[in-house]
Amino acid sequence: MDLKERQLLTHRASDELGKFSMWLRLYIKDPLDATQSEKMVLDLLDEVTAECFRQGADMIGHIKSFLTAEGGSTISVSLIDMDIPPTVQVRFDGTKMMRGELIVHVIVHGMWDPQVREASLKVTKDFMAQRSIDYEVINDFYEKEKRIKE
Amino acid sequence: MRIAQVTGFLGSGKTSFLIEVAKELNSQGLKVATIVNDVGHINVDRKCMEVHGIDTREISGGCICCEVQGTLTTTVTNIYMSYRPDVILVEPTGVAIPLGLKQAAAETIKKMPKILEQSPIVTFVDAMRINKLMNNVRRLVETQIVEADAVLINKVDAVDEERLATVTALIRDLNPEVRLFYGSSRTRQGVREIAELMVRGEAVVYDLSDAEDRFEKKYGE
Repeated sequence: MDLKERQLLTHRASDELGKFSMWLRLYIKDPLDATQSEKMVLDLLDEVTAECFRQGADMIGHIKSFLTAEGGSTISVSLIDMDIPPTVQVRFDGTKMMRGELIVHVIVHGMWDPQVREASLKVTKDFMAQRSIDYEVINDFYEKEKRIKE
Repeated sequence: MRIAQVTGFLGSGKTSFLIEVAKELNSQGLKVATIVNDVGHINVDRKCMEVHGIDTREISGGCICCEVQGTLTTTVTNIYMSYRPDVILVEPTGVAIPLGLKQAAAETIKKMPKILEQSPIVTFVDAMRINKLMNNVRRLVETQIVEADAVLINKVDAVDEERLATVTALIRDLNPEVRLFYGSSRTRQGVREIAELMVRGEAVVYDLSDAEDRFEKKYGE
């Protein structure tokens, strides 16, 4: 076994992380200001995280998101532990958001990628329906890093 | 031109800290480009960097340290041709290990030997979460520390002195010789020191045999 192969094995052995990311386009009927937009993102990440833990995750790897509203306002949120408050960076220009693009990354320990994908998409669907936010999934992605030389 | 790579588990604060390092280098009149290697094709870290006006490219489709090593060479070459930075900061995924990063950079340097030098690899350790990580992803985190040229204990403003001493002892136990720094992107502690290391730190001479021995000793077959 050469160095490269062993390196890949180490990588795999240690990388018991379930990963999923999605890129959403949001159409918001009741426009949101900066505070409401921030809360919307935080609540979504909280609910996705809670669902992952219900389904067997035992540690957050990193859950993060980046929201870009029309006009260029941005909100980024990073969550690394249930016991540590999320980091939020808001650069909002004051205009209420009616449309936006939201990228969400979910990486948790203790679940497989397909489960993380299913949990994230299901939570997002229910979450947006409750808030009358229409959305489309522009792209979603999972199971890439672990697809190392089968 | 320097290629300065960092590693560290997910959420260890690499992106936030590198933004501060890039600002610091800019303030010294140096041109900086960054390469981020995130999960998949939808890159959050790139967007975070670009909000701060930092020229950023992304490598997707896998981890630089193993799956897409060759892509690093192409990306670095393109950045050099189009931008001619003094430093390229590389932020790989949170599961990258220093040995793989050194290999990737060494391959790139072979293609542009008179232009590119490799800076020491800095592993970020999250002072707040290290215990939890050692329980759940011990092998990966240990590897990142053992193979590091320098370790930055990050988020030191969020922990007390006792905890910091414990984390320091843990690092020293795993890698007694490693250069140790303390940092926080919020207070900018350690930013200047890491910037200095990346620009002027002794370039790494990559020794495959040493790496193999270490790997063998640590993990066996």
